[in-house]
Amino acid sequence: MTPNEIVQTIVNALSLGSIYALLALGLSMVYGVLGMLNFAYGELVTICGYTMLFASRAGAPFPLVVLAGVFAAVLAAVVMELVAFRPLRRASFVTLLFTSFAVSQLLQNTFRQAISTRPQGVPTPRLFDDAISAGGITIGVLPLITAGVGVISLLALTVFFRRSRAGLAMRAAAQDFTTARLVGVRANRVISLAFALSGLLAGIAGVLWIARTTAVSPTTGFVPILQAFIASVIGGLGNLSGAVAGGFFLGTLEVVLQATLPSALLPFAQALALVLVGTILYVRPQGLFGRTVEAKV
Amino acid sequence: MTVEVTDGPLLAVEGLSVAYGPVVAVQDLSLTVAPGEIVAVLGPNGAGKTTLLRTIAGALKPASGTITFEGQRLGGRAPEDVVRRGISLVPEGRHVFPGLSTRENLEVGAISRRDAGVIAEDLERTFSMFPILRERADQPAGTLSGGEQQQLAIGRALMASPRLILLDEPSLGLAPIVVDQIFALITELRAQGSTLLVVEQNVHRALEVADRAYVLAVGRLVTQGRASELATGEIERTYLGLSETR
Amino acid sequence: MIARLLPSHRSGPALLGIGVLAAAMVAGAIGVAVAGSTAASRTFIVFLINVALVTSLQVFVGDSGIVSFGHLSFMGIGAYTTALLTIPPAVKATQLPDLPSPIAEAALPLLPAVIVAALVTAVIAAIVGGGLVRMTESAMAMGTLALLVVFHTVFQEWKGVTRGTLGLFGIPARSTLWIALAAAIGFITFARLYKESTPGLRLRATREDPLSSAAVGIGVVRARFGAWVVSGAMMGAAGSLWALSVLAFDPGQFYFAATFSLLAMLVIGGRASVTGAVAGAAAITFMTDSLSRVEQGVRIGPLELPRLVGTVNFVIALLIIVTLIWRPEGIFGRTEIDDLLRRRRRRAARVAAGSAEADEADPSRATTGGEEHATPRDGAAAPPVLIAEGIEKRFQGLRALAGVDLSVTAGEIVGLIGPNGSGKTTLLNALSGVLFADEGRVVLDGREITNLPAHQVADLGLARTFQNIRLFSHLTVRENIEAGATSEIGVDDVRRVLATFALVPVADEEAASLPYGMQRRVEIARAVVRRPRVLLLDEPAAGMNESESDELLANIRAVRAATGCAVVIVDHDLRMIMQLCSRIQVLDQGRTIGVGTPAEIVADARVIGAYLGAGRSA
Repeated sequence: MTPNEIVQTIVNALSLGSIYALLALGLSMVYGVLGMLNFAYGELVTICGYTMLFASRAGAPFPLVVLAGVFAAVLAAVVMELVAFRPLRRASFVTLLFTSFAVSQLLQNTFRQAISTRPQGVPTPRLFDDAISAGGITIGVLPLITAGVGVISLLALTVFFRRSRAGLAMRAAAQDFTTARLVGVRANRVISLAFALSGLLAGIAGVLWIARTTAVSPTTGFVPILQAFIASVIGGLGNLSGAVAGGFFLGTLEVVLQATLPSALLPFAQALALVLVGTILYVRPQGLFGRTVEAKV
Repeated sequence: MTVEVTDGPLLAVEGLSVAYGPVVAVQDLSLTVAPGEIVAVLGPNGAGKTTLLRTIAGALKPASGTITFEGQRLGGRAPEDVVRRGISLVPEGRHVFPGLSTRENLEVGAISRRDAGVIAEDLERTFSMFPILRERADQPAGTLSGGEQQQLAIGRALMASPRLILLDEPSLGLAPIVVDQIFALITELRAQGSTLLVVEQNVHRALEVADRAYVLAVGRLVTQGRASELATGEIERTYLGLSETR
Repeated sequence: MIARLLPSHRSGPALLGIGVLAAAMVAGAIGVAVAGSTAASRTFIVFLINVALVTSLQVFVGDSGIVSFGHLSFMGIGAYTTALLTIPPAVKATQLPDLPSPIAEAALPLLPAVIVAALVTAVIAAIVGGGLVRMTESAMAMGTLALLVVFHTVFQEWKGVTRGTLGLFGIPARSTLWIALAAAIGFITFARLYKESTPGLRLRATREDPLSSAAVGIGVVRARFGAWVVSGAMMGAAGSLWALSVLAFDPGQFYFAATFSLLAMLVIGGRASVTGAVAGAAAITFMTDSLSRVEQGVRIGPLELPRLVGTVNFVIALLIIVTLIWRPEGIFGRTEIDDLLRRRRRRAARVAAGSAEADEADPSRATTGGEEHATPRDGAAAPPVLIAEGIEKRFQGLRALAGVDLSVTAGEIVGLIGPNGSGKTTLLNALSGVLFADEGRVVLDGREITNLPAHQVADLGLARTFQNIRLFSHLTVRENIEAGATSEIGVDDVRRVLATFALVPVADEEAASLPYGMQRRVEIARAVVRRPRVLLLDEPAAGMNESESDELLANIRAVRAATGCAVVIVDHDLRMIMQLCSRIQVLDQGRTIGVGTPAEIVADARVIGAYLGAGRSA
């Protein structure tokens, strides 16, 4: 590969990887605190997308469109927790999984009915189609912005977790929920916060994803969410830094495969990535960063 | 951490019964703790001591009976509310947050408080009380030794500025020298004005520091009294299963 | 052999249940054939094929407790295989001109096509399942999701074989109403019998409690793998029948929408019950049918409803949420239709029997003499049946065991005591294979078992119970005991054990519904049915009062007398320990601080010190 291609691949990997990392982190956060895998997480991305669509149509400038999208995702996440999952707080893992699956289908169908089954274009600033060149290297503006926003968001979140009281409370709750309550962490608040944060991450990832695809449909959230699920499994479910690492790993894998596979195999890029991940999990079923299980069962 | 001068006990438990499914772990138990006291709860395993503490702390719901703290009923409150009322539990087995640093463990102990300045002072004071924690302030709590984790768990409970401290088997799994330190600490805490309810398997040590003690077996009260007056022979027999439970 | 694989006392009731369901389906088929329209017939065939599909899924999901999102891939593999083998060669050639000639010319009749489809799917299921079943529950669920996506991509992109998104058409219509009926009955028969079979029972035990199922010799991964392959093969066969009824399909049928419908049937009807699966299939099929008419826009009296796309999925999703809040296990839960019939009969019998003290074990039923004290056997002469040397175990810097030795001879009862945190349970865990020991060896009957996995240790003759009772809660008492059965254990052994522990009246009750003391007895009964060489008991008297622990004492003695096994018992009830054990070993802080007879130990100052705590250390 030429130096130009190498740099572009790296930027693309960072760009796609950070989207997956943001989503994987959101998923893992909820899993760590609540023990549930939220199947309806992808719908938050879709909600963000449709909000952006309507805000655009209403004539809002792009920065406002972005804010609206992110805000909608956060709001939807909090509402989802209050309405659908709080009544089932003590239910088993499988019950919660099915419920979130049903919620996801419910939302997708609502979008189909209320809006449209077909994808709708979301206008994005012309800037995103440009590329910048320096010293013989050309990089697309959008991948750069995506990578930048993604990395900055993750760093900001890290700061939040490590420096703020709320972040501290969440980390404690994720490690030992009962003891956290015994030292005074409010259960309901930390769970709502986890959902709200996961909504924020979904919103940011959603904006970045829509910017890439410039369209929104009822199933928009589905594609990146699947990757996010896999990424959080690679990283070890509930492990926050593992989720981020898993997201970057999967994004890089996908980009590298797309850049290097012969054209006949290109449509299989995603499938191949998944198969590779499956092989990794065969060797290390707990994920790359998950804790080794003490008991041999 | 000042002593509240109230008339009447700080903590009063009456007729408490707690069950895990079909197993009744605590049956019709009553005890009191006066301000500034160290009260020990003794008894062999399965006596219900841990269940008692966890119920007071709100982690378990009683089937019947009342718990009154500073004159107010505590029944059925969530643990995070019990902390805000002024009771802190140091759980059996310590349960430090292994991925958080020592300092962060202490900080999360103060999560229920709002006064940032005073919290910082309390953190300083805790480090002075437990110098080894200052040394290991930035290390993950999971890497600390058993004795250090016990100190951390106690420090963490103190950070909530409690008026009553519940200690569940503080000497569990610790070397005798470390046990010395822990019991010295318990005495020191009382000198500073704290009230403590201590569950212990180590009868001799517990009776050395406590003012009064209750002895439980199979969920019921066997005997109680001033620590200096309790006959160790009787207690020994309870432990070795040779006495009769009432 | 069949009797071992599928005991008659379980298959009997199962056949009753199957009969009821089959009769209902036959009645429906006849009704539709005689009195119904072609549309109604069509819907009924869809229902029957859905029964086949959902019971295939149920075999894995219901019995293992793990959700699989990927089973539609197996349906697709079966469908494509069948299409390739049954589409008339002329029609096939226009769609897929480049097929290799054996396949291009194939035009198989129904049965061979279905069988080949099932076999092909079984092989593929085996290949992908190997890695999946080793993962944790949640990770495996995600893994099956990935499986769905991977195969969907393959179906879409392997155009030379599948024609991609265009799909295949021209499959001959072989799934008539009667074929579908026969198939549906066949599938539910197989699914139900699998559930009641020995492998099915063992798998259900792992669903209830993976740890204690290993302790009775069940290999969790192996059990899951077996069900995965069987379920996959069934799904392939069902997919084949489906293809032969829809006559044309494309990759989109094996993706999310269909997965959602199929899972909905299980969730609503009841995951762990074949009856539930059939009920769920009925509910969803007929609801889908009536709602799709609404989707097209329908006249209801004077109202003309507009087209509402996605109504079906919307309503199904709502139904799932409502069901999960109201009945998290589904409408039927774990109950089969024959359970409902039997429960009514049994309740009547119990009321009639009155308040007989059925729940007290009768120690006199044991074959031992009336010895009050366990006299020391000639242990010195016999070689020890279990030897542990230098066992060390560290947890993140904490030394739980610092070099412990233990040895027991056959027929001995050894007590293991010590204060909290002294390492007693850790030692039992290291001996039984639940934990890796960091150092040391364990030898059972002359054979080294150090660091063997728990289920292998159990197979070699070491049985144990757990500190917190770990029964298979939703299985019956009898099933709990049978779950650990090997080929040497017959119905008589199970009956004998039930009698010894006075569990006969409750043998068919759900284990979780029993009082605490009885549950303890079931746990011990389950451990001893295999006639272990060594029995480890972890705080069996916890929570028991004096009369209950006397009973326990008698039971342990009876077991020892009947099987000649060695017993190591950890407990804090020192009164019981003193009476029961010929030798006592005391642990403190991970080390042995005393070994001797009860009299010696009680007098030992170090032991007293460990339990009650010495004064300030010197």
